[in-house]
Amino acid sequence: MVKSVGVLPGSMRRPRTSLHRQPGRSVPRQAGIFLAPALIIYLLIIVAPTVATIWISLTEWKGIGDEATFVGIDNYRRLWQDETFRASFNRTLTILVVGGVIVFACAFVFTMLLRELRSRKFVRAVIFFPNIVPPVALAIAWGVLLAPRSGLLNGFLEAIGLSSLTQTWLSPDLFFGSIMAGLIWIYTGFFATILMAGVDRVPNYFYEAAGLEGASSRQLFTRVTIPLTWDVLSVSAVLWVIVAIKTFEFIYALGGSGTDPSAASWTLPVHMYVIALGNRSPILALGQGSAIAVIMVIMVGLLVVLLRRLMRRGVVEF
Amino acid sequence: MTGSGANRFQTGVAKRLYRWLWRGLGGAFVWLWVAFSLGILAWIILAAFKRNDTVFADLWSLPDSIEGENFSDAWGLLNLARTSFNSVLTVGGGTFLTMAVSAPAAYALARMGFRGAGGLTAFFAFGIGVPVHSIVIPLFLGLSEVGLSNSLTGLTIAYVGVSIPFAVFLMTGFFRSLPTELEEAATMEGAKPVRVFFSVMLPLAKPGMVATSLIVAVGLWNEFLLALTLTFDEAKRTIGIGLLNTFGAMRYTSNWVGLFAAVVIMIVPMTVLYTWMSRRIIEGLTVGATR
Repeated sequence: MVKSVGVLPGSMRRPRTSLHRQPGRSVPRQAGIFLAPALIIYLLIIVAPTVATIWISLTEWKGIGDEATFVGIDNYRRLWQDETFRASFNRTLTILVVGGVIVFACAFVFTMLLRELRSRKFVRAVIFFPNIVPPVALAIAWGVLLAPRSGLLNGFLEAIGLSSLTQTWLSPDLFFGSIMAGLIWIYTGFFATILMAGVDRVPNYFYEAAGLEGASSRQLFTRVTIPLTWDVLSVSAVLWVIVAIKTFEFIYALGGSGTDPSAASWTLPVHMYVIALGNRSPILALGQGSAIAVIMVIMVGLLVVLLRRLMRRGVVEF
Repeated sequence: MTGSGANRFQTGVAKRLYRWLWRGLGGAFVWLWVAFSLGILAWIILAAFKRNDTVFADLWSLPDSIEGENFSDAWGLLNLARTSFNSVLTVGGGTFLTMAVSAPAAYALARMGFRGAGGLTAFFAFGIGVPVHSIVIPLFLGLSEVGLSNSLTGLTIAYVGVSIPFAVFLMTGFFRSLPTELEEAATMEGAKPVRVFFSVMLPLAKPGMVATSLIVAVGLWNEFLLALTLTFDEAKRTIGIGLLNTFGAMRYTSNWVGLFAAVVIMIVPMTVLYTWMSRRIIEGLTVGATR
């Protein structure tokens, strides 16, 4: 029953044309009834606040009780000139690009290796596991691992006689690298899982046929796996863009237990949270914070459209 | 294939060597990763039973005795009686309502083939990309306006709102993946779309519904930014905030083992759910994402 969803033959997938498309007005009206509740809640909770955020980003405002003054694009201009903001922006870009390359490289390695492994279900369940654990708990685990004096990693390195390699992993210099490593650990499992599902859908006879033709495993990968999972890859790339730009809890919680993390670890969402909402000493720069939020939404939007465009070609129907 | 025998033998050896290396290194990579992940988990679980003064002094020892003291500490730190109730209420209610509104919407988008369905699907998908940060300030003001700030009802509504985009996205994938025959037959028998949906498509989409609601529930259970900003009474706190507060209190109490016990308490329900349903969760995620 469960399985039947995953293994439908190709002809049954994506029925683009529906027989419901009858002449007459009843279809849109029925569709309206089906769509209205979700649409209304979505408009009220997501869309309207997003629009309001755009408005707030054009003002200077410290919250309820304060009169908002319209300042045009001043918030954006000031952000652009702010060194701290540019550093945060660059960190988000680094996660997006460098982190993305590593996450997808690892995910591909898992995908290829697990194709032949007998315990693949177990491995997949384990590597996906961080994605169901609260990010705060992951940050606690990462903190325990990397703590300077009593951390597991340094303790392990000392135990195996490599004490020269011990580092203060959470010092400002290495902090961002430690965050990246953590994010890679968390998200590789997520994307490997999705890619594996894509590979599972490729009928085995493609691999058999290519194998009979004498294709090497690298050729199998570049000539069979990649083209035939192109649409899954494209969805994964889009999801990565969203994840990389949005990711907040893990960094925030790793940065400090209950305090705002030091600026050396700020990414766009952390930066926004600290200046707008903050924990100990919020500056309540709601206008500027909203401007960062708008920048994030625009980044996601642009990159998603761009990726969709770039990756639209090359889909092989099978 | 025209090379001499020796040549062919050589490439054969090289190929085998290459494959062997790839298998060996690859296997090491996979199993180190798995060992690492399980190791951290096991360490935290064991540490939750240790004593605070020795937990970091002797990293690799087993706990001397199995005592539940840390867990009763954690119970208090998390304010578990209250926070778990609030979490179950908001996560349960939020998940149920999300599914109740998302399934019909996804069905309409995937199956009713009206003009603009594609655009509307993209419009919903846009919500996946909106960071919670960018809505939280106006959302708080809006909810205050209607008297729903600092209320579990308000938080539940917010949870439904932020879950709708991904739920609609996944369910649209599910409905697309279902065969058309039964639906066509029902339509030809003269069944109205509402009837077709409830008696034919919804039962067929049950695996997708289960998977999607699990994914939504896991996400909401682990959520804390909305809970942090939309509620502020101690009595309205969710378990995620409880964990964050416990973590924050660490700076004064240094009660690490209590914190580990709190982590264990918080991840137990999700882990049980996951071990039991991991195949469904993973399949749900992937069917949604691959269609």
